[in-house]
Amino acid sequence: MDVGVAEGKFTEIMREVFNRPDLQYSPELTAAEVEEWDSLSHVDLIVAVESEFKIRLSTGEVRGLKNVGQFVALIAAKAK
Amino acid sequence: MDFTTLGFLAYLAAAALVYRVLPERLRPVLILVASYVYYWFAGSWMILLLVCETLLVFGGALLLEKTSGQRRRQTIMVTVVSLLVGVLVLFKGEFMLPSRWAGALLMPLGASYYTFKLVGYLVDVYWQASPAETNLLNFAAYSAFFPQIVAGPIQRAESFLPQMRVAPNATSRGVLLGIQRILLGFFKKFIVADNLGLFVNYVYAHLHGGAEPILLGFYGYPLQMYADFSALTDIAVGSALLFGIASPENFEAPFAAVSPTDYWRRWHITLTLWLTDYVFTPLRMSTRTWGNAGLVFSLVVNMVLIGLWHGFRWTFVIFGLVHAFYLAVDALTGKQRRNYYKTHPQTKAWAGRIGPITTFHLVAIGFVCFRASSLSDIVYVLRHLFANVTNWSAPFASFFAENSRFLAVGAGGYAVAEVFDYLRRRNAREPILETLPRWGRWSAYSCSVLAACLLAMLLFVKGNKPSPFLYAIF
Repeated sequence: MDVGVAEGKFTEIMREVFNRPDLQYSPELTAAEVEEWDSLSHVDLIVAVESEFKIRLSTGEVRGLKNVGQFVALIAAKAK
Repeated sequence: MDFTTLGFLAYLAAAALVYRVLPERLRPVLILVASYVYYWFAGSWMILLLVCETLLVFGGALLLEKTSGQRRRQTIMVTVVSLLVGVLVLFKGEFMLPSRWAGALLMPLGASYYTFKLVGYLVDVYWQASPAETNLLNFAAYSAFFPQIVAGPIQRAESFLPQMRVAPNATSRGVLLGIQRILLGFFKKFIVADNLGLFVNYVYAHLHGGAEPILLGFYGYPLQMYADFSALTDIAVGSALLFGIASPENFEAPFAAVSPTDYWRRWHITLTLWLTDYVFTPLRMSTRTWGNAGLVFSLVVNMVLIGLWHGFRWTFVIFGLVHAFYLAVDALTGKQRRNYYKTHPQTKAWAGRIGPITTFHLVAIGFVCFRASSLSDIVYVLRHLFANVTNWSAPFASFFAENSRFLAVGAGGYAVAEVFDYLRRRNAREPILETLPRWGRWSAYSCSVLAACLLAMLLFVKGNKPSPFLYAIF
């Protein structure tokens, strides 16, 4: 999938899951910078991403991610 | 060589001085030798277990990196982790062995903490989140680093190993902060924890004996535990700073938490983060299709494991279940509360003010489960919380009259320690000491040196008798 398309969809999912319509996409954005992004909502985000992009993510794949940019790159690589 | 002895301070100072004069390439060797010598004095032959587990994980991680098949990689990871956890469980469950073996398996010093470090590192290599370390010396220094071995903090390999590769000099600011941090730890331990502990221990030892104010134990124990455990962290973090090594923090004003979830972000932070990464998240990922049931299940397993880690006792299981209940209610109602606050902003302000008070009391109930020696004691304490607040038994009245000054010192010291901790956290974010005029800076330096001398004298007078930390046994 095109990274630009994945970025747009991922931003919408983040806004929905964290209930933050004002959230802006940035590849360097990390969970530490979003107050609502904790270990509980992290899994909600993954479930929403899997459902939207029709992919399956493993714990190991997600553990290695350092920022939102890497998350989107992983989605773009796995989604059709 | 307990942290609260003059012997430890002398050993630490000598090791830090030698570290400073050594060339950088030899510094990891010194860290390793100093750590193994410390461990030998503290744990004797149990050092062999530490060495064996270090070699096993070092080799296991390299093997993982060379192995390509997913099934084989998983087998290697599961085998090594099972061995490490199995050994830990064997020592933790020692009391369940037949009585003729009683005392045969004493828990090796720091076994929990180096096991956490080793398991986390190996799983990260398995997940390909971190590369395998190729330098055995640096890796052995990581697993054995003596300031952290007694009770953490649980530093991740990805944070420690880069510091070991560079092994820079400790800056003069770092050394000063390290000394101040160690002093703060001793203040919390001797002035706050030990004095409050006197009363808490009395109340819990005489629960059914007559008329003791149980409320004193209820409020005193969380403060004693925090002062005691954070003192251990302060001494560990301060000691590491003398070698120029930055450690993660373990506490962030836990009693200012506005909710149980917030509390666990501030209490024993490195253990909470470790469990989140290696227990909760994998469990939650496996149960993500179960909806809220999966969330509750993962929370219960995670918190009961935290409880059981302290020892295989029903009181610790109850402690875990109580906190799992708090966290589950917090998580399941979170979205509704946030939506409500959006439409009722004045309620949010009130919730922010009441939150720390409510959370402290919820946490204190959890601490009753932690401190009580049986299930019946938990029930007794919670049912008689307000008993005997003024109507004291004669023995307690006499004990209080004799020792009330220690309670005053402990409670006053707690307030002072909170102020010191606040200033320390603020100074870490934006240095304030350096912005002071010269007389202000030198006053701070002189106070630190004088306090260090005073502490050394006190420890000398006290003799080499250690004052055990509550958390050093886990």
